Amino acid sequence: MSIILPEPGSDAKGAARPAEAPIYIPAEETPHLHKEYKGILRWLTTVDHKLIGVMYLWFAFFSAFAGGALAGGIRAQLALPILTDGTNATMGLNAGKALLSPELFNQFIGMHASFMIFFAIIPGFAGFSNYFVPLLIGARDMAFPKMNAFAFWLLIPSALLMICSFAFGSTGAGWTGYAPLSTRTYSPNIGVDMWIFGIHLAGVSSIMGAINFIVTMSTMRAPGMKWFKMPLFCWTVLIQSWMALIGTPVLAGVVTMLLTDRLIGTGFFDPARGGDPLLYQHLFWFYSHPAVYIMILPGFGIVSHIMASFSGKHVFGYKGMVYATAFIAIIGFLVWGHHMFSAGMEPWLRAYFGFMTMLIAVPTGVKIFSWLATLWGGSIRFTVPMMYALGFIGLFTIGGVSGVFLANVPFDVQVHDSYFVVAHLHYVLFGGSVMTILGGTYYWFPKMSGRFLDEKLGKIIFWCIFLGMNLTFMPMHWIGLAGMARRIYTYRPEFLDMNRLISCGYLLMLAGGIMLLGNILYTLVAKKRTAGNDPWGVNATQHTLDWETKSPPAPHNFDRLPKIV
Amino acid sequence: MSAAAHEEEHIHLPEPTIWPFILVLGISPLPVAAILALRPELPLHYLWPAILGFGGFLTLVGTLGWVTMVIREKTTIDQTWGNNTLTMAWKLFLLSEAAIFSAFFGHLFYTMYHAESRAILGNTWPPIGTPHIALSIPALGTGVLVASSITCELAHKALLRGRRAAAKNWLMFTLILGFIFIGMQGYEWGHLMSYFGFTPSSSYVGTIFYLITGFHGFHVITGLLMLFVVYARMELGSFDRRRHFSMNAASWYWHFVDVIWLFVFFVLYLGIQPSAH
Ligand SMILES: [Cu+2]
Repeated sequence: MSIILPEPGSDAKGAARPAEAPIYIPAEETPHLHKEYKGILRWLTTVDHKLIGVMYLWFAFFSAFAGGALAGGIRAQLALPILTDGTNATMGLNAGKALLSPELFNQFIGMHASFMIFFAIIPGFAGFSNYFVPLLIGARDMAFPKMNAFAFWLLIPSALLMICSFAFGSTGAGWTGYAPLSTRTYSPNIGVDMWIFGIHLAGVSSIMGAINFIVTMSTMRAPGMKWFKMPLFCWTVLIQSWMALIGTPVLAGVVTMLLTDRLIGTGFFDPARGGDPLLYQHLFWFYSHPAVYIMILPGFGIVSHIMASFSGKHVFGYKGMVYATAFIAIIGFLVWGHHMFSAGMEPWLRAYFGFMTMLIAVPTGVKIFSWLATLWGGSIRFTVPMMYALGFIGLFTIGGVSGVFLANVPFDVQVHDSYFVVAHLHYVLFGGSVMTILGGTYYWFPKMSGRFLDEKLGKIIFWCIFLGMNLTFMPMHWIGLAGMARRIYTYRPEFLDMNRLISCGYLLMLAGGIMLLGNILYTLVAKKRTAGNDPWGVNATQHTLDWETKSPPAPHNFDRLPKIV
Repeated sequence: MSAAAHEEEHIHLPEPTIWPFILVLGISPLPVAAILALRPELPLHYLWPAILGFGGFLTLVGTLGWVTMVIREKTTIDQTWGNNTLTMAWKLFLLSEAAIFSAFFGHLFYTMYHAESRAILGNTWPPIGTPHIALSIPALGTGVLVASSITCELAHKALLRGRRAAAKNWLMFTLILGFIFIGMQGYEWGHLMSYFGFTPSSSYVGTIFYLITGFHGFHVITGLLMLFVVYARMELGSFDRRRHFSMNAASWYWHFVDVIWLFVFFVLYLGIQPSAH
């Protein structure tokens, strides 16, 4: 694949456009200079996909710190608990009382999850998709720039509702909000109502984003960019958007049922009137299993770009990667029951869900091996983004393998609601999603800001996060197998040492996160813009359009629309 | 000069706009108002009309500002290209709507399938306490909606052929049929509630019955509003053969509502007949 960027002054032949692409005919004859506001108003009024993308990323970054602070509360409680045998292990910090009350502890757990999922990981990927999908397909903006801004702003009230709901006893029932614990009988405060509305707004935002991405990629690709010339990151965002489009409304539907149960007294989940709490779980997981892929697929795309870039090769098995991603997405909608093995389910259904879940390991394996084959024989450069990508492979494989464990019904019933599950999901969501977001941050930071993040410090941060991550979540496998239950503020004495070790791992990750924030702020304020069009020097092998324009790109992205041949 | 060559000299970027932000500002207080309104025990309960009014006002301002801006853009930019993208976005939106309905229908199937294990309501489907919902009104409603779909399509065809008067007439028929449907639905609800005392909170069947028919009815009303806007714009003469995206959108929506109703009738109404089991 090669790209032709018509030189200024050449005729328009090089940039013939596809039939559906936008043709703008300006109103006046003078070159169109569009209005721009200054200061805060510039951000409030922008419809530029790049600025919106940057706002998404900052929003996600701060949400990650908020979610991380909640995790800190959880780790503090578990490092300094009152044990089940009554031993006071608080080291004199809080005589005779646990740091967090049992209810508050549960709220911390639920809010940590809600925040990390809806406001850190999903918007984090939305930030990269917004910034880079139009660049990578050679478009000037998204198909619906105003709707794009609207979708971002919706996240603010959504997050505010969720934060405020914390003061009114929300998420005591966990981020899953299982009925009947989340019904009015057991969660009488308005916190859950606010939490539900928060999910509604976040859901509308992600449906709008999904529609926008699908339409953008379907109609605005540069001339000559056939479907199978589209970079992998775009493919993963496209498939992710389809999943969000079909899955999110179901989540909205089920929390709406919960809301009407709570506010106007309907009986969806009230057994006394024939309602069924188990149904909540079915509908909830119908969204929330695919949500796992909504939270990881763009990461697959980012890793593909990083791997290929720093191996100096094309990604191995491009088409296979696309098909594997699509296959994961389709199967992803058919496996939700694996979250409910211990909740009561016909044996044949358990067998079905277990089998389908294990089936997902096949396309996932295709991807892992394709990445490894991309490395094979390449001239590998150990840059910081590459280290995150390599770290991702290892960690995500561990998370995937423990996922296959959990797909086995007998095993799942055994470790259900233990720390083994916590370990598994964090290897997938931290080892998978967060590592790719961090890798993407390092990879595209020069493009977005024109400045390089410090490589040396970057490596220190990487090792803090990578080692801290393993120190935190690896021992959870062991204490989980040994029987430590999750979502409970206390535990048996034999787990004390291990929990303190885990909390040390948390501190290591926290140190990494704070250094990263400091480094980003310092770089933005103090460093000069030195990055050229292709700051990593990878475009000779990659031929992707993000490296064909200035760093950072001008508002119109490309002076001349590129043509792909 | 060809359009493409023209563009080479003038890069048009969408203008910055404050309306999406204002709209979000208007939407934000609405959940608070809803919670306060439906929770009379809260200390600030009495504030809900004020909050609703404030949010509603800003929402209206934001929407109008946004719409005005789009209409102004239409006069300066050739947007015929936009019809493709808009149509696609609209279809995707309807797909997501269908996904919400499927969550509700999923509930219905699930409860039907598990009815035998509901000792509390007599282990039967439909459960004890479900009135015999007469089929006459919904059957008539099905006819009315299907007919309205046909008239809507005729209006669309007439518009495509440039026969604006005929299009307007067919659209008027569609509107009237839609109103008849809503009237019948309202009558049925009133009858069920007052005569049988069958309400959303009487049992899980009541809950799902009113949720599905209510959510569908809400869509019918939305569809009627869209058709009304289309009618008004025809009256103002703002369509031509080539540019009538809102007619396309409204008719797509109307057919969608019609199809959903067929599911409502054949699955929900026929499903909760006593003889159905
Ligand atoms: Cu799952």
